[in-house]
Amino acid sequence: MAEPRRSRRAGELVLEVRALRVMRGGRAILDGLDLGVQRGEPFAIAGPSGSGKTTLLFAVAGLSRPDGGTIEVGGVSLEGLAPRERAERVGIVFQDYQLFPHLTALENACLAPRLHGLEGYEARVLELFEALGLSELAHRAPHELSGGQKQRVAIARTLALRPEVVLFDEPSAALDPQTTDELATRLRGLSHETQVIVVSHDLPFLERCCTRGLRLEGGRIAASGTVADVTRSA
Amino acid sequence: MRRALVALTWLWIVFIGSALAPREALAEPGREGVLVVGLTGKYPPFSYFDERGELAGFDVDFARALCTEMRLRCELVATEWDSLVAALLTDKIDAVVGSMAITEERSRAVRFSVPYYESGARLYVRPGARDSGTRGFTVGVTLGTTFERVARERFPEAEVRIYKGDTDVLQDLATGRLDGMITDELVGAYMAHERGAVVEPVGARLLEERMGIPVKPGRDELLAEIDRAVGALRSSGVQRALLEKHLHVGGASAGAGERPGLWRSAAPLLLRGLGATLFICVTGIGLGIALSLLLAWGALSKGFVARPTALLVDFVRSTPFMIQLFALYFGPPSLGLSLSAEAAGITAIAVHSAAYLAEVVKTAYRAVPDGQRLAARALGLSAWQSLRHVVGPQMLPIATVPCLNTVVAMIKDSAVVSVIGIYELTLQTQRIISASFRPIELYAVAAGLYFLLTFPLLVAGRRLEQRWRARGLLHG
Repeated sequence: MAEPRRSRRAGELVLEVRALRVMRGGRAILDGLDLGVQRGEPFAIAGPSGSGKTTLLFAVAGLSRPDGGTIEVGGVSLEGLAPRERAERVGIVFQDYQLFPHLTALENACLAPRLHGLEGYEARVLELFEALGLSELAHRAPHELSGGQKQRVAIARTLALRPEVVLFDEPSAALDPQTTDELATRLRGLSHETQVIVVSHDLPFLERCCTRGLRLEGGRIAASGTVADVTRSA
Repeated sequence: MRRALVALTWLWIVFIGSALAPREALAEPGREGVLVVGLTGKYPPFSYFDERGELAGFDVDFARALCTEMRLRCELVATEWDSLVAALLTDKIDAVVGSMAITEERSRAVRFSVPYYESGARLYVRPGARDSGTRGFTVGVTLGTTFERVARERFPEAEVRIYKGDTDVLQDLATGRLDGMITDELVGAYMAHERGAVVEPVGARLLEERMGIPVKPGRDELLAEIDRAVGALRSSGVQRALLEKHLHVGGASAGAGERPGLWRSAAPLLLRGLGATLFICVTGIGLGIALSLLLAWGALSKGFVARPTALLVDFVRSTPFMIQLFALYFGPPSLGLSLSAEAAGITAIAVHSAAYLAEVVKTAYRAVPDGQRLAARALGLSAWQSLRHVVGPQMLPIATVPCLNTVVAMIKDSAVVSVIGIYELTLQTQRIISASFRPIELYAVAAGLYFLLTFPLLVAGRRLEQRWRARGLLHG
């Protein structure tokens, strides 16, 4: 695929969360969470429902405002960044993909880079479509695509902005076993392109696509290390 | 497609322009050298619209003679009978030459001139009617007339039905819905003679009436001048001559003369009415759409405007359109602001449609899943970009059909503005009926014209709905 925008050395800290605090209805969902993700293989965030996974994900993606703490991507704090600048650092692929139903697959992926005035975005999107096996489907409407196809369009849409980190929210939730296998391989493949972070409660899936990770429980990190350590202790 | 749309828009504008060009101007009262006179146009032979759609009758001719005598230019305004006094008090008109009987009750609100003619009320019944003294005898009168009170006092057993004008009463008498009517004896004689109405006077005069010309209290100079002019017209014989001409008093015959065919005279009037309906609807609803976006934005905002906006929308949606119309037409003068009938009508349509459309817009906005807004935000789109490129295009299929339904309802409801004297399709139809007495054909044609306006919108709505459904943009 296209070459990375910034120099990306494996091992450097790509995502750093410090003392993250998120309150909901007077209750702390995340209370002083610290975590760091080094650039490299896909990173897993596991945990049962209600553990604070989605809350962490939304805070990192800039979709909710934390009540305290800092989030840095590539050494730059997300706070105070313009929406466009933030989107070029962190992208997210939603569990239900959230493709725009009034646009074709290709238009879905081109919308944001076009509005942000990114140069050469057409070529970039076509490359992504090629790599993700979407070329034949470029002019289809979202309702004409299968779940797995929709997910690949959503991935292309996110990658079109070349973010340093891409968050995947429960990516295996709605897929059949074969598509899940393909996805695991694909996520590993994306590591050259961006830092993949997979948030899921599907432990076998996490084992297949990630090497490192952590497990959240009650808003705190219950385990971290290799993905085997994280899932074994669950 | 786009070119055809532009051509159609131009055609529309030209059509409206030509249809509205010869409209009666509503004069500003109190203007130098002009006397604005109100009457109903629904009280033949005193005031009605003739076959050519012109105001005619004794009151009309007398008003013109009065203006000449006062050396003023006459402008006639036809308004519903029950709105005449309100129009007078809000300075929409200067005087009423509308066969208004001088009563103690009315004298408390307005100042009457000396009488310009005298008459009396009588009961008229159709052949085969029930006896007037029996229970179940139905008698029709016009709302707010002195006849209404007489009917209740003299025929306590009867069921009194209230109408907007004598023309409507006659219609129900002809179809047998009414046994009788109470009206002026000069009118009754005219109906029997001129219109061939099968009614007979029964009993003696029910009351003596003296008709005066009311003005707004405080306009003493105007009243003195009207008194002088009435006196002059009576003593010079002009008043007598006009009574003879219109009412066959003294045996003179008006002579119906050659009447042009109904449709030849009605068609231009109906088209003019259609043009006026189009104009007020396109303008009013156009403004309404703009206003609805503002209201929807206000109601959806999280700021302090949300509650007042929602309350305003609910208020407009829960009060009758006709009352809103009256409020806009008669209300502002007390604040020193006067709206013409057209301006009041268009404003009422704008406000009323805006409230309903705002509700549709609001619902459509909420129907777009929150996830779509989140996705737009995650891609770094600004709030405006999200609305313009993501949320807006998805609201369109959801909102269009309900919006078209609201527009169709509003076009039909625009008939209501006829009550403040806007010559749109319904009022034009009524005025032709008041001269021709052919309600069935004319109402059918009017209904057909409304259908022509609204049906294409319903069809367009259905087509768009099908297209969007096929594209997966509409569910359910």
